[in-house]
Formats: sequence, C-alpha cells, structure tokens
Amino acid sequence: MRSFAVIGLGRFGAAIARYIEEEGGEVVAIEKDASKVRDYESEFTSVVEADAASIKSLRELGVSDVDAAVVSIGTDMAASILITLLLKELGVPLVIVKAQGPLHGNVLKKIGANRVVYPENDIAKDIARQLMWPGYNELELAPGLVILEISAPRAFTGKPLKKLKIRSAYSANVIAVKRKEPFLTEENQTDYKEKVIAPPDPETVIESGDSIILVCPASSVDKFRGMK
Amino acid sequence: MSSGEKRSIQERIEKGKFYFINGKYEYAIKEFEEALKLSPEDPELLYSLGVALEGTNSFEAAREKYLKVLECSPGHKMAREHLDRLLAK
Repeated sequence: MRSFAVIGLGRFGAAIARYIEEEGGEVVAIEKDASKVRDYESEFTSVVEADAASIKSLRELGVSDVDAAVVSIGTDMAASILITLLLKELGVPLVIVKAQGPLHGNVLKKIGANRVVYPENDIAKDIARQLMWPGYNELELAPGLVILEISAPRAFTGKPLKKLKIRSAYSANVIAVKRKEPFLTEENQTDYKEKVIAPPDPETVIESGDSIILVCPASSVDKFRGMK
Repeated sequence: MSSGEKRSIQERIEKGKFYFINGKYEYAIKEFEEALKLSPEDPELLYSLGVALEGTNSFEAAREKYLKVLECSPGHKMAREHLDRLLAK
C-alpha cells in the first residue's frame, strides 16, 4: 500500500488526507495543534500530535519511508519552508507544498519542493475561466501540455473530424466527443443524456451542441478560447 | 388568454419538443420563444427553452432561463438539477 504524510490539518490538509484514505492509501497526519488532533483522530487512521519542524520527530514517525508528503501549513511560512527542507533531507521522493503566495512558492521551489500549489488561487482561476468562457474547461496534464474541453464551434458542425484537420491547423489531437442525446421524460419534459464518443472515428461528424475534448500544447490554447 | 392563444401555445410546445428530440435545437428554441411571448412566465416553457439552449451549448442563456423557472416555481426539480450542473461546469 502506498503511504503518505500530510503535515498540517487545516481544511486543505484534512481534505487531502481524507481523499487519500478514501482512495485506499495510508496516511500519517501530523499536526502540532492538540485541538485539531482531537478533531480528526476519530476520522483518520493515524493522527499524531507532533512538531514536524523537528527532523527527530519526522524520523520517529517514519516519514522518511513515505511515498510522498503534503505540507499544508496555514500562515507560518518559516515552518512550511523548514519542514519542506527537512522532508527533502530525509529523502522523501515527492514533496507537495501549499504556498501562501508567489514569493513563498519561489522559495519552496528553490529548496526542492517538487510541486507548489496555491489552492485558493487555483480555484479562483478555474472559476474565473468558467465565468469568462462557459463550456470551456482546461486541465494541465504536464508542463506545456493541456487537455481542453470546448463547445463545438459553428464552423465545425456538420463536418467529419478528418476534414477539420485539427492536428495540422491547431496542433491538437481530439480524444473524445461529448454528445447530447435528447429525450422526453415520462412527465413529457425535455431532457438529455450525455454520451461520450472516445476515441472518435475520423469519420465522426461534429453536431451542434457537441463538446470536443482534445490534447494540445499550452501555446495552442488561445486559438480555441472564445471560438463560437 | 383566449382559447386560440392556448391552442397556439400548445402547438408551439409540441413542435418545439418534436424538434428537440430530433436534435434540431435551433428550431426548438424558436418555437419555445414564440410560445413564451404569449405566456412569458410559464415555468415549463422556460424550462424547455433552457434545455434547448443548453443543447446548443448556450450555457449563459440556459442558466438565465433556469433561474427564471426557479423564480416562478422554486420547487422545479429538473430546473434545479440542470442549473446545478451548469454551475459546476
């Protein structure tokens, strides 16, 4: 079983620990605030009251053997930096750290954090994007590579994928088409189900109301944004 | 509302639904919009228009219709489901 350490049981840290356990992973949750430890000790398998800014404590808790650690310290930037450094010294292969802002994030990257996350900022970015571009979703797959979901533009409808030349024109590969299947309910109300065609055939004809899911370099994203 | 107007609304609704289930969302939208001119606060019509608008990926317009359905009929379960789905998009 894969094992993980979650350091700091604020809302973000607790949510991470909860999801890892739900997915069948083993978590040691470390928190120095006794009241938070009490709040979560009945929920999580292993919650320990300890100061993670001590290499001795981390060693004793077996943190050097975990597959990955998540550092989710509220406002104490110094503690989050020190703990990240200690985790890297202990040889934890993957250290993910919640940052307060860009400066904090830069320091974390410089001392070896494998991934720095800005949860509030990331969610705000997603919501702003959804508000600006309804029907448009973007997910970063790897640096410089994204999965996009776009509403099929009018110029695409009625044409088979092979004629759209999406690969040559947009440097993108279509991996799925989401299609609405309209029906009437027993109460005679209109509704629809969504069907996913994956992978689509080159002959698949794009219909009005389809959504197209594609993989493309981040540099191609602007070509798709706002297409109607 | 006269019986002629009622009949006209009913005909528009039926035609709209016919177009809808055949994937002709734009035609369905026209029928529902025409019917709404005669009965602007009918929750079922507003809902049907919302679903047809969603069919064309006009999410903002669909969202407005669902909100209006819930103003007129706060317990409208289907409108609530569609609105929640749109808000999660």
